[in-house]
Order: sequence, then C-alpha cells, then structure tokens
Amino acid sequence: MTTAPFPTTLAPVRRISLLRRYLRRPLGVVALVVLLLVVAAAVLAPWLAPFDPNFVTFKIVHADPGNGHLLGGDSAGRDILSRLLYGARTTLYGAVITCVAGLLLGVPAGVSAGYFGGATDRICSWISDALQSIPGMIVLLVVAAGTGQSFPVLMVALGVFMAPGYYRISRARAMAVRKEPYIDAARVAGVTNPRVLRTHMMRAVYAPIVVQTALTAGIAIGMQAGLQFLGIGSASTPSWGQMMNDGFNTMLTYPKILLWPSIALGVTIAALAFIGSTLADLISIRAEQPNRRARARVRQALAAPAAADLPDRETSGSHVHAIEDCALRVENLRVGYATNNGIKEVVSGVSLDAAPGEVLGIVGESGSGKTQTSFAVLDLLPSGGTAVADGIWISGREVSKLSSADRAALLGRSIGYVPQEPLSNLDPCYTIEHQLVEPLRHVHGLSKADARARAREVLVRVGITDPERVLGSYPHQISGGMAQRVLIAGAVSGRPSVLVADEPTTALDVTVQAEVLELLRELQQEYGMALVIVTHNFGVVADICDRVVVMKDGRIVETGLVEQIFRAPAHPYTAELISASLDDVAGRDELDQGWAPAHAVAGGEDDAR
Amino acid sequence: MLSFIAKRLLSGILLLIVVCSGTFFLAFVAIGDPTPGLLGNSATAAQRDALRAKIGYDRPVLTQFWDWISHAATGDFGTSWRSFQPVGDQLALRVPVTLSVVVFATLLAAVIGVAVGIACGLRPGGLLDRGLKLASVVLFALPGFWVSLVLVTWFAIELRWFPAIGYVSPEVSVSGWLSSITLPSVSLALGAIVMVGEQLRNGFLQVNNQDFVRTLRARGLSKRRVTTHVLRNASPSALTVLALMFVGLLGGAIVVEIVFNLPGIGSLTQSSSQIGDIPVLMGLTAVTVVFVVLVNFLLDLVLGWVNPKVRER
Amino acid sequence: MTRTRTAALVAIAVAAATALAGCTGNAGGTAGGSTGGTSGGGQEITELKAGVFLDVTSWDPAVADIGFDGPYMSAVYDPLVALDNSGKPVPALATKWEWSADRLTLTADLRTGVTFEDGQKFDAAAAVANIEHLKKGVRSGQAYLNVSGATAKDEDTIEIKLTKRDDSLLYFMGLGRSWMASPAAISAGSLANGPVGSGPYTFDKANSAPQSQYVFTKKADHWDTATYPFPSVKLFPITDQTASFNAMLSGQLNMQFANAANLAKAKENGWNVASKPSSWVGVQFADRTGAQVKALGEQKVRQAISYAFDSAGILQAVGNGAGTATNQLWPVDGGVYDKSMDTKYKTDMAKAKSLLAEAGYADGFSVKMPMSPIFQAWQPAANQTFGELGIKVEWVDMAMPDYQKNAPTYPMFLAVIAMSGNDMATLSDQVTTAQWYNPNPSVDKFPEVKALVDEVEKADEGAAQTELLKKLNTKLVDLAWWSVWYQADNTYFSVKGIKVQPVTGMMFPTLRFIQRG
Repeated sequence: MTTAPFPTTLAPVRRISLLRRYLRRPLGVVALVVLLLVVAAAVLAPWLAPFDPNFVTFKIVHADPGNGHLLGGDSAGRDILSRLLYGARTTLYGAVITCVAGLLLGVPAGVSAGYFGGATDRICSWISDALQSIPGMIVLLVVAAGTGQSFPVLMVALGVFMAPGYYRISRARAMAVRKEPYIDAARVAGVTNPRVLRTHMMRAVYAPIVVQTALTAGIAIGMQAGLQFLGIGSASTPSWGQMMNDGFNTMLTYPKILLWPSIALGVTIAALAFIGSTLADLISIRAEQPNRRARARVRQALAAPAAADLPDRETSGSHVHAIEDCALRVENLRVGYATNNGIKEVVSGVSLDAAPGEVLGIVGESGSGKTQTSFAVLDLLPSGGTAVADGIWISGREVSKLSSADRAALLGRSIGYVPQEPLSNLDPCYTIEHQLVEPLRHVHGLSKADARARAREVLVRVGITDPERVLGSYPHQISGGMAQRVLIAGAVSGRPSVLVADEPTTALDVTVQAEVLELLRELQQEYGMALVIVTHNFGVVADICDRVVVMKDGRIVETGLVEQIFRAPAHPYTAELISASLDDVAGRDELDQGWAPAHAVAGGEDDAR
Repeated sequence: MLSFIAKRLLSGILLLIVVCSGTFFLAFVAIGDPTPGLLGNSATAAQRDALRAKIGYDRPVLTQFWDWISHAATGDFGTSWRSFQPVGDQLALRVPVTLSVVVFATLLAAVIGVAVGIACGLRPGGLLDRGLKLASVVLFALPGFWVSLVLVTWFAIELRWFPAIGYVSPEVSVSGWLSSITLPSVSLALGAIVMVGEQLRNGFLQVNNQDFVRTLRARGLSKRRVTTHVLRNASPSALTVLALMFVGLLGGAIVVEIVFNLPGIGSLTQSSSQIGDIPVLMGLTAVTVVFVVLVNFLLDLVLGWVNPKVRER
Repeated sequence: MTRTRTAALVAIAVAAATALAGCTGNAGGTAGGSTGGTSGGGQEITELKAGVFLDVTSWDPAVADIGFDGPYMSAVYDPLVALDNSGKPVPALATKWEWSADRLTLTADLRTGVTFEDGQKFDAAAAVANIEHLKKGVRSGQAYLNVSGATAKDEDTIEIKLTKRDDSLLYFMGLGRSWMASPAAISAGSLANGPVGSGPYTFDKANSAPQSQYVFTKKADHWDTATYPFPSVKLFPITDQTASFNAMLSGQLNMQFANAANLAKAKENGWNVASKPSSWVGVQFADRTGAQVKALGEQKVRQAISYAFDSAGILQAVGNGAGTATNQLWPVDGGVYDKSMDTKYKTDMAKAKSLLAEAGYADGFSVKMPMSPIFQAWQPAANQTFGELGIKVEWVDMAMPDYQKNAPTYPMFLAVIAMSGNDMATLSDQVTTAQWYNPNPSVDKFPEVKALVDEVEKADEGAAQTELLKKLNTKLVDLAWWSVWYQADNTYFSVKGIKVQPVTGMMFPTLRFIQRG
C-alpha cells in the first residue's frame, strides 16, 4: 500500500533504490557533499595544506587571516588552515575507529540476540544496559591516564560505549525480521543459522545501521573533540578538539582561533546529522507527516481528475434505497494518498448504500480498497489519506461537507466501528473498564456509576460471563475472542445506527469466529442497526450478509443480494473469490494484513536516536 | 508487582557490583603504581614505600579489592590517597553540586521537552516541529561549551542576572543556590530538551498511527482525551531517553563544571584519574552507578505503572 | 595536579607541582629584620574577592602546599617568619632571631599575648609542638630536613637545632612553612577538618562552600591588623582561566590569578596588572654527563641547543610575552642575575650547527623525549628547532603523573620549573640536590662547578656569597647546564583600588601582599 516505505521484506534492489531516493533529497545531497569534502580534505591534506601543520613561525602567532595564511595563525604560530586540514584526518580516523568498534561489538550481538532470543537475548541486553549505566567519562579518563594517552585505544573505548546503540537497533530489526516467512523458509530449507544470520539478517539491519553510523560518527566526533578539549589525546598530532582548546583560552582576545575549528567541527557533525536524518526519513525511522499543502493537493487531484483519466473515473456501484431510507449512503467516493511518486488513488469512485436492519458485505482482496472505503465513511483515514465524495449520508444526513469536528461528533453516536485485530485495538495502558466507561461518560454524558453499570451490562450482553474480572483486566490479560467482544461492546454501547465492522473475525480462532458473527447479527437485529461488514471471505458473507458489494482495485465490480451473487456471480473476479474462500478458510490471514504490519514497522524503530 | 521490584533491585545490585569490579581492576591495570603521581618524583623510595604501606597498596590486588568492596558495602569508601580525607566526605561535597545541576536540568528537560514534544506531535510538519528538528541538529553539532559561554556572556557578564561561576549551597542561601545552578542547568538542559522533545514527538506520531487510536476516535472521544491516551503510550520512550540523559549528564557534565567552575564530580573525576587516586575514583564510580541504578529502578516503576504489561515481563 | 590548558596555565600547574616537590634547602644566610607588607591607600573596597588557581590542599599546615595555599593559610594562621617584598625573612610571631656562631642553632624570641581561636595560648611550648608537627609533615617536612629538633628555652623563646648549616631555612619558613596552629588541634589531629589558628581572619564556615568559595571575616583585635586592609575576604579556587576571567568581568571577583593572554582586555577594563618571574622554561638536560646519549655530555652540543632556540620568539608566542627571555635561572630581578650574559646564546642556527659539527655530530643524532598534554604548547617550537638543528626527536606521549614518573629517565625533556626567590634556595633546588626535574645533579662530575658550589656554601651571607653565586651562574651558563629559554611571569589582575605585590616562589601571594592601592 501507499504508506509502507520500508516493507519488512527486503529485496536486493533496495540498496540501489535507497541511494537513488537519497539523492533526490536536496538537504541530504548537500550534507553528503559536505561530508565528502571533509573526507577529501582529510585524505588530500598533505597536498592541500599550504604549510606543515606543525611548522612554527613566530610572526604569525595569533595572526589575522592574510599573508598566505588564509585563516591566520594559532597561538603557537602555526597555520590554522593546515592544521584544520590535518585535524580532519585525526577526527575522521577517530570516528572510524569508534564506529567500527561499536559496529563490531553491537551488530553481531544485536542480531544474535534478536534472532536467537532467550538466554542470548537476556545476557546481551543486560550487558548493553549495563554499558549504558557505566559512568563512561570515568572509564575514558582512567583509560586515558593508563594507556599513556593512546588515541586509538581511547577511540576503541569510546566505541565500546557506542555499541549499545548499534545493539539495540539491530536487535529490534532482527526480532522483526525473524518472524518473516522467508527466514522460516530458509531454515526449513536447511540453511544453517550462521548463514541465515550472515545473509538475511545482515541485509535486514543494513539500512538502520547506516543511519545509526551517521549518528554515532557525529557523537564520536563530538566526544573526541571534548576529550581533546580536556587535554586528553596525543599532543603531537593536530586535532580539532586541541585547536578549540587553544582557541578557548584566548577567545576573549583572539576569537577567530576558536571560531575556525568550531565551524569545522559543527559543520561536519551537522552534515552527519542531516545525512542520518535524511536516511532515517527514507527508511521511515522518523515518521514524516504530509503537511496541509500536500493534503490540499491530493484533494484537488481527487476532485478534479485530469481529463485523460476520466473514463476510469466513473462511479462504480449503485444505490438500491431512497436517500431517506438509508442508514448509510455513499456516492462517488474517492480516496487518495500523497506519495513521493505523486498521488496514489486507492478508492476510485464508489457508490453504495445500506438500510437500517440490513447487513451489507464489502468483499475484496487486500488492496481492493474495501477497508479504505470504510475508513473514509468513518472519516478515520490514516494520516496522508484524503477522501472526496459527491455525498455521504449517515442516518439520512449529508455529512461529507461537514467540518472534521462535526464528523467526529457522529462517531460513537451515529456510527460505530468494530476493528479487525482485537488486541491492537485496545489501549494497552488502560483497563477494559476505563476504555468502556470513558466514552460513555464523556461522549454520552453518563455519570460514573451509570457508565459503569452500562459497561457491565453491555459486556454481559456480548456474552462475557465474568464481567467484573474482564473490567478489571488489562488488554494483554484477556484472549483475542474476549477482546473482540469487548470491542463490539464498546462499539454498540452508544447505540449507533450504522455499525462498520472491518474483518471482525479474521484474527480470531475458527471456533470463535462463528460466535462473534452470531453476536453481531443478534446485536444488529436488536438495535436495528445497518451493519457493514468488510471482509475478504465469502464464508462470512454467506453467514451473515443480506447484500454484498464486491470490490477490486478501488472500484466496485458487482453489487447484489447474497443468494444472487452466490448463485450467479456476474464478474469472474467474484467467482474466483467465492471459490477461494470456500477452499481455504483460515490460511489467508496474511493477505489482508499487508497494511497493518507495514505501519507497525514504519513507526517501530524507536531505537534510532 | 513485588517480584518485579525484587527482580529489578537484584539486577541493579548485580550491575553495581559488576561495574565497580570492572572499574576497580581497570583502574589498577591502567594506572599502575600511584605513588609517583601522588607524591611527585622528588619523593624518595622510602617515602614511596611508606605511602604504599599507608594506603595498603603493597597488598595483593584481590585483597585490596575485597577490602574496598566489603567496606563500600557498608557505605565506607575509604580515604583518598592524596588528601587522606575520607572519600565519603569528598563525595558529600561534590555530589550535591553535580546532582543539583543535573536534576534541575533533567526537570527542565522533562517539563519543556514534554511540552515541546506534544506541541510538535500535534502539528507535525508545523513551524515548531521544523524548528525542533533544526534545533536538534544545531545543538548536536555545537561544541559543548558554546552554549555555556553564550549564556555566561549574556546573563552573567552583560545583564549580571546570574553569577558567572560558582556554586552556593542551599544551606547557605536557597535563592543563591537557585541562581548559581540556573545557567549551568540551562546549558545542560537545552540539548536534553530537544532530545526529549524529538523522542516524544516521534513516539507520539508512532502511537498515533496505531490501531487503538483509531478505535478510540471511532468511539467519539474528544481530541484531548485521545491525546491523553497517545501521550501515555508514547511516554515510555521519552522517559527512557530522559533517564539515559540523566545518566549521561551525571558523568559527562565536566565541560559545564569547568566553564562555571562548579566543584562537582566531573572535575573530581578528572583530577583523581590524573593523579591515580583510586579510592576517590571508585567512590565516584559507586555513587554514580547507585544513582544510575536508582534512576533506572524508578524508570522501571514508572514504566510499569504507565504500561502494566512491562511488569509481567 | 589538576587539569591545565593554556601556555600560561601550563607553566603554573607545573610550577605548582614542582613547588610542592622542591622545598629542600641546605645553604646559609642570616635573618635581617625589615618591615613586612606594604601599606594601603584607597578606602572604597571592603571586600577582597580573589580568584585563586587551586583549592586549598589542606587546612593542616603540615600537609598544605606552598604553591597556591598561601592566601588561604595566611587568612587564618600567623607564621613564625614572614617574607618582605624582596623575599627576605621578616618577623611575625617570631619577633627576632639569632644564629649561633656555627649556624647550627637558631634562637628566636616569640610574640606574647597571642591566642589561638580555641583559646589556647601561643607560647614557646606551642611553637615547639608546631615545629615538630611540621617536621613530621608529608609536605612541610622537606623544609625541616636539616632540623633535628626544637626546644622551649623559656616562656617566649625557642631554640631550633640543625644537623647541618641551612641558609634557606628561614626563607622556607617565611614562604609558608611556619604557620602556627593550636597545639590542642595538632594533638587531636583535627586540623584537616578546619583551621584553628591565630591569623588575621576568622573562617566563616557556614557561608563557605568547600572547593568553591571560602569566606573570611577580619578579627577586630589582631596584633598585625594594619597589614590586612580588607574587612572581608572571599577566596574562589578557579582553575579554568576562561571561567576565572568571566567571573572577573562579571564583577564576581575583584582580583585574580590571570592568564597573560587576556592582558589587552584587562587594560581595556582599567585593571591593575602585577607580575613577577615564577618559573623557568626551557630544556632540562637530565643526562648532562652523557651517560645515556653521549652527545649530551658534550658542552658544545648543549651550547648548540642553546643557540638554536629563539627564546624571545617562544616567550612571545607561547608565553604571551609574560616573562623575560634569558639563559639564566636566578630571578631576573635578583642580585645573581647578570643581564650582560643574556646575549651569550643569541639565536643563531648557523652557529648552532657549526658547534654541533665541531662536537662531531654534523649529521645530528636521535633522542627520545617525553611529552604530556600540558607541555604541548611548547612542543611545536621545540620539535621544529631540534629538527632544523638535525636532532631527531621521538616524542613519547604520556599523562602528567607519568610525566613526573618518567621524564627524568629520558636524557632531556621540556621543563617548566618553579623558581625560588632566595638565591641559596635556587642553588639547592636547581643545582645541588636531586629533584624529580633534576634527577642527576652530577655536580661532582664537573670539578669547576663543584669547587664553586663548595665556596658558595661556605661563604658569609651577603655580597660575598652573591659574588660567588654570580661566578657560579656564569660557569653554569657557559657549560649550558640547562638550556633556559625564559623566565615566565605569574600575572595577577585586580580592579582599581587593589594592588598585588607578587613574590617569586609563591604561586599566589599571601594576603599581606594584597593591599589597597
């Protein structure tokens, strides 16, 4: 789907495309060029530097720029430019040592911990936490005092303290990737653990590691300069920290001596930071949000399609009820997302309706636009999504032109929602009671006691036998089926006239599925709601629906009564879906999850710091 | 819950022991014979032998280690090899200084960082959000002492609102204490505010994309109520960053201590590592790690309270 | 030693280290009585707020350093002997003294009517207890190496017995080795917790923050009250010179131990500037007999090195011009120093090379030298000059404690070494006795030097001794005993209304040298 910039499966071409996409970011390119210039300055220092960096000419002590000394002289009478150029070598050399040390320690440990889990994970994580708890400065100072100021040793020591950063990020990635089918496939195929680790895992952690390295290098350079500033490190090699130290002491009289190395240091670190954040954007470690202008652009494009597209833009689907008889009516709905490659339309002109007491199924494969349609009806599209429609009627009221606040006021009162994945749809931080009572009190204005009584009552109604225990529980303490009942209870407790259920049974055990459908049916009849069930499964349709809408590629290909569709599907796609549903009831869960895990990953890298 | 607390405490004590032992042996190997550093080289061999005997350096390393750790367990960190004052007294002087500054900076970071984080999370891509992103890069790239120097120049030398240097104990004057720690705390806090803000903002957006937020909205909850849910779910990562920052600042405030001439543990660390005063170094290590363990423990409790699932791990 | 960074700082820090390490003396001199301190002028400033480089080492006079402890100790303790502006011992708690004919007994009369803060009386018994305490002290003991003991002759007279003539004893006592503390506190061992003395000020512990700020209030009835003009004194240990200067700029200080690099700014602010030689900077030939590196045993090689260095340039560049370029290490404002000799090793690379060639080292030689971050300010110039001369130096990096530990094991090293204000103390500290910075005095290997030293040590104090020292100085310069580049000054800034009189040998002068003016 549109907002999955970093899918969990990594194709080999990804590296190339990452670089290519990187080069499209102007800020990133500038940062990269700056860094390359610094690297070039370091490598070419012997040829670029106008003077020997240690050559002392007393007449340029504290000298202003000029006379062949582009940046002037330092307090010992050495050419500042030459020292900056040579200092870049020290700085980068140190950063490389630190990053390599951190990488070599952190990444293999992190990947193993994430891949093997268990004791390996516990031990490695404990060590990593311990490292982060060590007063690093004490150790670095002791190391400096003890090793005769050896620069490489000091930088390796610094690298050890940077290792937890690498560890955490590679562990998180490895844990995510480990669940992927292709890893299982590899193992089943007899690929040994070391090989899986080497090939698949390393490839999976590659991108975040690059980001982490950019950040680590920045931190390492800063720390290195800090240590040199404190007078630690080799006295005979030029370094930026040392130069700042020199400048710091005379800054009131000769501020320029402090200025140059600070600029060099600042610019280098900033370049690394920008490279890191640009890369992070690309692999979505830092979730970027489309701004208002981008949303307006999408709206514009959806509402006024280019002339050439017009034939594809005709409304699909049809209405069977009069407007005033509808609990829900949608006319010519379009949903689009802004992407880097322009606007991607996922729902292209859909019309449908449902009367009170009617059960409407929206059926289609993943990517057909059925879920997007339901979210558009609820006005709960994910960020970046924009919906445009000729009209949306809920309980006979046109709502598509309402403000988002007025749309939000319909939620829970006129229209309810039952989600697909029960456990991820309950807030893990609050008890069930809180989650049921809160809307009753604050949306429906019940008193605390009334709200609690009502919550209990609804829980009993949805078939929960020990409501007190469930009310006092946290989401992780109850089963999936129980959670789905809680969610249904939450959705109907406001007595809405339309209930939208998005794959309400897909995530449940087969035995529970039928019970939940039965419950939905009962409630729908009891409350006289229009029930819209979004599903890929014609089994569900057969069980519960009155009418069905079949969607493919964002359009409705067929609408009709259930018996009619089953008897004589007009569209070959419908027939295909029907036979697939009947062959395989349980094995297709993954099909419709393309969306959810993609999002989980997109925001899941909280380790990037 | 009790077993959760016990487990965390046990893990903390284990950490304390491991880090202290590690530092002890590292210091012994790295520093070697401390007497030249302590006495200067004019000291005769006899004077050095006397000092070695006095500080017990002539005993086997393991004996010395056992001696240290068994005393340290009772809160007795021995005497400095240089001043022969109890290390505990030194720490009692130094730790409050650094702690005042670091705690104050952490509080500032927490309060302002959270406010900034929420503001940016609510309006991603907005002016404030872009400002935060820029500030994070700028503060990341600026050499550590720059912020301090700018603050001193403006608020101490030009405006004379706050003292340029020094630390006043709250026992002497509470207002003097606050005024003496303001500039150092602010210079430490700026970076921390940005980091906490960034973390919270990202956590906020990430949680915002989670399923349950949509469900909460579908129930008709107001934006403010939904934000409360999001915030609670986003807070662990920000809290973790805050705790990590506290740890980092505790040991890494050396430059700020120099610029503001604060007699804190950073400068003590530096001077004792140079002269090889191992008891003082060990005292510093132990105290720092104790604080780290305490803060991590506190963090675990808060995280456990925020998200009960954590408790059952 | 704490951290240090600037060139000026480096000098100081090392000087402080050496000052506490180099306090032995064993030559002769008698005490002259002259008035101590300068008298004050202005009236406005009632509070002295001084930025001292280092914190007080200890309130116990036996453990205190001379270097930067002077202002702290002088606030709360009275000395037996003080120094005057020229570094001559003058009466304090000892009102007068007399050497025996063999100069092995010193008889001193004591001031009466002085009491310590704990109510104890200062008398002969108290003085004896103090001297014994100081003699046993880790740091103070070095001043009393030649003292066998002290006895009370009567209520207000003591006798100090020496095992060997020691002409610098009174100088060291005056420098900061005769602070008198309450005998009760000495026997209780409680001095480390806080001072118990009879000094001009009371330590205001409640308003002080150890290691950060020390507050002292003047006593109303001190016997020497005229010498101390400020009703209140605050001392701030500030090692970082930028922090110290910021404090001075913000008005938190009105007097500071300064970095000469800030001279221009100080003048801009209209502050008083005082400075005095404190340390010598140059190359120390630890191996001047050529035991390790044969070349260094050659007078011509050492002379060549002296010729090669552009001392004035280094002073200007690295030392911010705060000091005097010279090849001698008796203070340039003293009697032994001979200005005419400073031209002897006028910078001349060609001459240096030819001398090296004459000595048989036309192609130079290789040598290892130690290097520590705090010396790194001088390294570029040194490395370059040695390189031009043809001496290939391999620098071995080490931390400061290691430097003290290891530097003497190298044939030569860069030196920043504290100077003495007393000429006989200079002789012993720099020439005759082994110090960390002078591990092999090797006087015996140079018969001419040995003969002169013997003569000096036997001579009567005064002009005769100074003449002999001058001869010795000339000889040592000719031998290129060291390659001194310059004598670095310690510099002090103070606001208008405060005047500082620096004293060679003290890194920071005691309070009697800080007056209104």
